[in-house]
Amino acid sequence: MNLSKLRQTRLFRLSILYSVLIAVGVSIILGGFVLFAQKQLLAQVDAGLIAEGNALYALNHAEGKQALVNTLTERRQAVNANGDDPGARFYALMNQDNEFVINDTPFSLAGDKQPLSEPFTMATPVTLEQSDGDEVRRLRVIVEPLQDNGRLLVGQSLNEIDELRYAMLAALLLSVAAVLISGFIGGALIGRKMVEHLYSVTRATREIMRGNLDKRLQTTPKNDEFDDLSHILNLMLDRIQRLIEDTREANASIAHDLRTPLTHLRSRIETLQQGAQPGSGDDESLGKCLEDIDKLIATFNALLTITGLESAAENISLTPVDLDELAGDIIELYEALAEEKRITLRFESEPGSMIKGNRNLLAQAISNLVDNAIKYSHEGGEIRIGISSHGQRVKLAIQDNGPGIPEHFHDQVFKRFYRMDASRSTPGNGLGLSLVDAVAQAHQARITLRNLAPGLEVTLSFQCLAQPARSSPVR
Amino acid sequence: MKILLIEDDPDMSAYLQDSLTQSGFAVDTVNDGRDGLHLALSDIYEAIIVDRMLPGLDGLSLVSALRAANNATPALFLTALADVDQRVEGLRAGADDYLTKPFAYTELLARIEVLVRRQRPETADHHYQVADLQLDRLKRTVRRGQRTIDLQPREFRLLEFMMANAGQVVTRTMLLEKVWDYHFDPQTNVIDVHISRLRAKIDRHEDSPLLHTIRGAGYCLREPE
Repeated sequence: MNLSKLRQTRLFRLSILYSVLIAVGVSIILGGFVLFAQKQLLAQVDAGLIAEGNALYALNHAEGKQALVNTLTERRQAVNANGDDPGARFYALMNQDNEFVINDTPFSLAGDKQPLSEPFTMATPVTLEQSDGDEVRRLRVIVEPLQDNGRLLVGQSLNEIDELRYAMLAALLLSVAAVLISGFIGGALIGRKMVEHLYSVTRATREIMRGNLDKRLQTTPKNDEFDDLSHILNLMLDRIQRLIEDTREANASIAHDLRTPLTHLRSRIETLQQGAQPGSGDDESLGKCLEDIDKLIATFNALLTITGLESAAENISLTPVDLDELAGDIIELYEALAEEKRITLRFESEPGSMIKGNRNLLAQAISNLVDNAIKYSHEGGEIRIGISSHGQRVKLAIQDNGPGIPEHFHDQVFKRFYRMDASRSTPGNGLGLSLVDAVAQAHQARITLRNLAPGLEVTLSFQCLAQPARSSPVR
Repeated sequence: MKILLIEDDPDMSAYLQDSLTQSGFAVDTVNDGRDGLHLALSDIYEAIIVDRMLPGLDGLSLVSALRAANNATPALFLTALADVDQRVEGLRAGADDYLTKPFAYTELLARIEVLVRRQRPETADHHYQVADLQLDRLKRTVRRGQRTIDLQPREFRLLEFMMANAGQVVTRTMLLEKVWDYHFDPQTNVIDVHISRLRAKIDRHEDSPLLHTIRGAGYCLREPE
């Protein structure tokens, strides 16, 4: 199954939409978490800085500047001993003349943005950005004023927090991507399974409609909703098959049970007729009997052909047929009959009229249509038979100038034994058009009726087989 | 003229035996496919009439076996299996003709006679003559006495077939099958119109008509008695 077909499935589209929604949800949740975590971590850093600042301020106040200097020196040594601790704090101490007594800051405090040149309101940590080549480092500092007008800076690098934030953002992106990819794959898998299932149902149904009534939809032991549906459909098919088989069986038995006695009856009457005095009343009545039986047999055969075509169209053998040649033959066959009614048969055809069909069934259908057209045309009229190709289809149209068929009868006339005149006074058995319809169905041809003013156009539209290049004969 | 009839319906079998005997044939009758094949291979018949649904061996296999054994006796299926494809199947198996039940005896007889006649060597391949009507298949000319008759191609083929089977009854269905090469039931007797046109061309203004209508059967082209 290709992707474009998959893309068309509703389920696939739904699952993609669903995974996008989940991805949005995941982004909101994880994004919120990252913001919250950042805020908490920063607050922690700030609290630590403030506590340290207060402690050092208190030390300076209680034990004097030298004690503060000693403590800061110890701290620096401890930091140096611990090696590279990104979370380590750093300190700077200035005297009242803004000269550094101690400066551990990892950046130069000289320059435009001098945190110590301004009289800071303390206990409010600020973030400083420091460019070090490409890398931007962020630092959090507080500045405590001391009693002797000196100032103490306590700071901490925010590297750790920043790295953590990047890591969390990366995790967020990864999980969104994972949700989308798994949604796509999951959707594709589910969609494929669903589509395969639906296509198997479609295929099976098509095959059944073509007449293979033994075909059933597949069920799995999983008993899911698809199996339920298939099961129900299979039950329905069982029932339809039983009904059709009953009908077929009835047809077969009718065929057999009627054929045999009809055969016997016909042969007995023939024997009687041979014994009868030629020209006598008996001879004449027996002749009429034979005519009636032959009419009965013709109706019976037509009916059996129709039911045979309807119930087992797949058994009809189809070969390439030149529709143009076939129609030409039928027209030639009927030309003499038409001329007796002074009706002209006009035949116009286009090249490229090869179709797949059954020659004798098509001949029967076309002959029925031409026969009807002659039957209903006015004396001296014209019947136009045209074959034209329209892309992949070949159309055979037969137009007469008879009374036509009222629009609301168009669907009815294909029904078996349907007669427009309730009195059934016109000749025919009411099976002619049904037979045409059955032949059309067996050839997967479309049949349409159109009222001309005056007249009727019957069109049979066949699937074209090939486009042989040859000139257009007009007869 | 001996005919083999393989038919399992006793009524049908008896009726056909009677009728065919009356029509001048000697008829051997069997009701089983195997016996039928055995008889067909061991004796010489001018034609075989065989049902398709038979006990022992079905008719299709019987005819196939007969042809496989290089036996070319004309065979005609007489069967209730009437689908267009079943007919094709029967002819493909090697049968020479296919007639579905219920049938008109005249139809059967006409077909059998044509089959039997085909067995006899034809005297002149390209030239047919019935009374003073002459048809040349090579030059495609038709003459009645001194008069040249112009025929349409289809009329020529119709006359050609009638003359090839001169003296035999040919039915409308046979003509549609053999001259037009189609097998279906026309709603109207279109063949009649073609015959009357042909008749107009060959028999008009003639004292002795050659083309006769045989009531309830078909047509016959024969010499005047």
